[in-house]
Amino acid sequence: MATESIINRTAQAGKFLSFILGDEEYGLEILKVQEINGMMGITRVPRSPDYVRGVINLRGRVIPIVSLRKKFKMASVPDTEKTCIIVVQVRYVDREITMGIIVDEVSEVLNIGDGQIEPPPSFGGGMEEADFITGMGKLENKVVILLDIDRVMNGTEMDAVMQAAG
Amino acid sequence: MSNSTVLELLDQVAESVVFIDREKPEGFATVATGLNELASQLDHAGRATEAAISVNAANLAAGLAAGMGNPAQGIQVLTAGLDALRASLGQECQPEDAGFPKELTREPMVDEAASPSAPEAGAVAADQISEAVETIAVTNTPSAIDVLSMVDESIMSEFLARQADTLEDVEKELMNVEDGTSTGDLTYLLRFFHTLKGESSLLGIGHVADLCHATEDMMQSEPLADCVERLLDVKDWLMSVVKQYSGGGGEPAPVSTIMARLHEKPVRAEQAVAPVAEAAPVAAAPVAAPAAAAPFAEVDAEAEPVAEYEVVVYAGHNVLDSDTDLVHDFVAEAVEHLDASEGNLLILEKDPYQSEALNAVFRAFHTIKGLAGFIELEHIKDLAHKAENLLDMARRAEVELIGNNMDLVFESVDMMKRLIEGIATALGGDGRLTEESRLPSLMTRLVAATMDQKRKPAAVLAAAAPVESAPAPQPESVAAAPAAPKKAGAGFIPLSNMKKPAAPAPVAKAAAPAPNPAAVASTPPAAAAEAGENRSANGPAKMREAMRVDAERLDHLIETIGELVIAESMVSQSPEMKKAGMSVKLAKDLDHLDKICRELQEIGMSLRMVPVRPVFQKMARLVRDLSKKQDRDVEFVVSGEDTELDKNVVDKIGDPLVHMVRNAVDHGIEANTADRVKLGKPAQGRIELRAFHKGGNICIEIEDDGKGLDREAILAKAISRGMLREGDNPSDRDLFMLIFEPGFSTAKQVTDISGRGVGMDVVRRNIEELRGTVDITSAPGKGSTFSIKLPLTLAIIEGMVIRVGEEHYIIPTLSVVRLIRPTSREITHVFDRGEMLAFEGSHLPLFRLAGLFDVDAAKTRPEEAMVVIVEDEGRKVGLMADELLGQQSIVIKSLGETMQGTDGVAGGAIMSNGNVALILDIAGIVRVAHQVDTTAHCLASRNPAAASLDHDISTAGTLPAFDDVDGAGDSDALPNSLTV
Repeated sequence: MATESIINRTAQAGKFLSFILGDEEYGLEILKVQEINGMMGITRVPRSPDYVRGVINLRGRVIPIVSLRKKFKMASVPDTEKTCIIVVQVRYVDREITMGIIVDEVSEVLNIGDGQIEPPPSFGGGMEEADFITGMGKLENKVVILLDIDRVMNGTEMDAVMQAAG
Repeated sequence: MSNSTVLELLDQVAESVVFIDREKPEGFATVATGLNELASQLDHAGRATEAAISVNAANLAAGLAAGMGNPAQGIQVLTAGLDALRASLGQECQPEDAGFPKELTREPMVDEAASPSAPEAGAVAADQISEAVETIAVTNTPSAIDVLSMVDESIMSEFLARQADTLEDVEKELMNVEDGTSTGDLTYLLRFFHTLKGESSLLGIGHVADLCHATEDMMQSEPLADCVERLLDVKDWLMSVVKQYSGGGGEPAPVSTIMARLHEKPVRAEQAVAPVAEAAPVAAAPVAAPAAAAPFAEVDAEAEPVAEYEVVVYAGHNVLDSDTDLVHDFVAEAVEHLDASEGNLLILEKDPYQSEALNAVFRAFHTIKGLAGFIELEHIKDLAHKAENLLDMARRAEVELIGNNMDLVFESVDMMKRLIEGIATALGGDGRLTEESRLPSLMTRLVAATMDQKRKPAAVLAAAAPVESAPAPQPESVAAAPAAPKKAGAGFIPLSNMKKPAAPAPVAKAAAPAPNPAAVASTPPAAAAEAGENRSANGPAKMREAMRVDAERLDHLIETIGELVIAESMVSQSPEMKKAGMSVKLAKDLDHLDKICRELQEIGMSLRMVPVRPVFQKMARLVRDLSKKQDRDVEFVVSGEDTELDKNVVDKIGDPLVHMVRNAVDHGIEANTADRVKLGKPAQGRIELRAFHKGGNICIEIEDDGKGLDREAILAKAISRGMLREGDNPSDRDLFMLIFEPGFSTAKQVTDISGRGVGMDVVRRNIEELRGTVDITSAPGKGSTFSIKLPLTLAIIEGMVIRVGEEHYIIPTLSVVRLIRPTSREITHVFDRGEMLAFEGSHLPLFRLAGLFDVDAAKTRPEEAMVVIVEDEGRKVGLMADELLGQQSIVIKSLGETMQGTDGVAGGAIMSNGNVALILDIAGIVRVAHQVDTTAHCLASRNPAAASLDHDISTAGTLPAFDDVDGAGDSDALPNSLTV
């Protein structure tokens, strides 16, 4: 399935939900987003990968919550009032799964046209997170990193968890 | 006056005869009117002979309407007469009919092939059949399509889906053996082959069952390591069969090759193991084949003559061309009719003279025929028509519904189900129907079955009519006949004229409920009890209005209700609410809201509940097939099939029930009826399957009145296996529970049904998976009862909420043995790491949840904390937590697919504050505790792949435990593994 994502890696023009992690601004295809919630009680799940913050009760459904900072190996910061959980629909193999991602702050919905998308930068080896990027959205005064959220959630570690889940 | 009008009229009359209620002679008036009209038409058409017969018949009917003569006989005569009429008219009208619309002519034409007036055609068909029988008899491996069309497709597809997965597991296990990484789990493999054997023989896949049988033999007679090669071959072959049946892949190698392969190497070993091994492989072919495949072979022998019967071309017919709503309705209705028919057929089989059941089946087919004709599903109409013919003859007592005929009817029901399924699939897809390759052969046999009998009827009427009509006084009947002309005429709707969508429904409805009360009334008191039983099996009569709802939507609704309940309690319990000094009005309103929420919750819970009926019906079918195969006369009594259980439980209870029912037939009921009679029991064996509520649980009991469990034999076997010591005298209950041990069998003869001691192991494991228990009572010579106790639903458990540091966890109450606060004297250390707790004279490993789960701020001194002693598969461990917060019912939620594999966590539950608490998976924890000692957990959590090595609790995960179980010592065995 890894190869599959590679084929389809350049971001398409359209609407993106942008959010902030530290000083960086990221964009997420709006169609992947189900809803945005403020922070709520997260139950830690012992013995799960470290970037899994735990699970929450989303109106009766229990869904896993992933910390994007942890996933991207960025420094942890304490939650603030602006910290949000973005609930996304992620394709895993042939299924749609619902999960939440924790971001520092949700910013806005951006309309990014074809001409504004540049191919993802190349960092050479050594930065596997670069694979998660489908392009760079160049706007008037800023650059938004466009993420392939399916791929973020399909990393090798997630594979291990999924395999475990059978 | 055209012939088609006459034929149409004839059909109308025939139909009204069919619908006549024997207890209400008024119905005959309608028939009489119809016949009179028919007579006058025939007269006009210049057919004096036929007209005369019609008049006679009309007189007879009128006489019957007036209450004279025997209605049952009358119906027989009338039907025979009508058939003869149709035959004589049909032949002549055929050429003239060419110009008429198809709808009007098809009915009679179809009949032609089977009718007595077309003897040439019949003879040709008969010849062809016998020819075909000869050619087919040579090949005895059932082709995939044959098998597929014989069984309920849903059962089959479920079966296939499961096999694909399990076969992979089997392969993995075998590879391990080959690599030398494991000595192999013989029990697991045996269990697999045993279950597969049982299921495939139930599904009529005889060759697979045979192969499994032979494989089991081989595995028991040789060391596992020696057979790996061959087992892999078997696995590959099975895989190819599964693929073939699933619609992909080509024809697998014939079963004989693989069988031969099984016996090829072990020549030496086989001889050494003497009679068992030697007899079985040889027997597998000749003995098992007739036994397992007998009904099959018999059917199969006539299976292939595809050319015999020209089935209406329907492949490629697009159902979307018709009004899809109507087709949907048709599918739903037909399925209901067929389900009910299956139940009725089982009753019929018990008592072939149960006319109510027979009529119900007949009506079901008749209705299906009508509906199918209306929406132009000619193949279904045709099949229904043929089956109806056979049933009709049974109604008239021209044939007996036993043996081959009964099988034919069963097969027709199965085929019909399959065809309907095909339509449902087509509806969901591109609308095109696919060819059903077995249909032509079934049709041919149906026709053949009716043909022999059909030669008589023409003569019957000629002879019978005058005799019967003689006592009927003419004037009155003639007067009575025209009296109700139009009114009665409106009662029957000519099938070919049905144009309005509303029409089919009334036919079905009018047909179904009417005869029921009458039948009950007519049943003699002696049979009253039985009638009650029949009624319960009589689906259409008490059809509830139901709606199909997508399961996902339903779950969503239930979840939302749950959330509403939580939100409500958060509001009404919030301290601010209480503080604010609520107004009386607000308090009242909140109360009201609370009440509604509770009610909603209850409704929500009940939505998932379904009756166990379908499973029970499957068992009835199983008993029928088994007792036939084993040649044992068994009466199967079912009660409480309306008891409702969670859908998931109902889906999973089938497997263990199959094993238990098979055991009851094979081991329970005496093989020899003389043995029964000697003990003062009726010659016919009796197996009873009951379901009922008991104290918040559902009980399912299987009781047989056979020989009972052999206490001595079990005791001897237990001693020889070292499970008990010589001189031990366990209670009956304890002793009987031993039969659930893997590999425990007292059977001297391994049959193709049971005897290897695998089945009961499957039973216990499945039931434990459903969080139920199983219990046995048995008295020698009187029979045994297996009682299964199941929770109402899988979605709710009783749990104890504990606190560890800041976190809350839930332990299923079922696994909790005791809560204690240990004293320091009771704690022993091992290697400065492992801790042990003295409990009831033995030492249990003690694990700190805080350590296992990496929780901060938990109590560190066991004396201050609390220890929960939990048990899994007989292994007890102590879990140290800070505090017990209480016990409550908990709705289990999955943690989502990505988190399911987390060790030690079975799921989540939403607590009253809206947060999620994790439910501990005790089996997993016991395993985790054995893998990692409490200091090594960090390492494990950094490497998730390693930490979740054996996540799959239900299969491979618990297998290592068996060594311990056999070793009998729970507690002595454990500390050793601690040190690993």
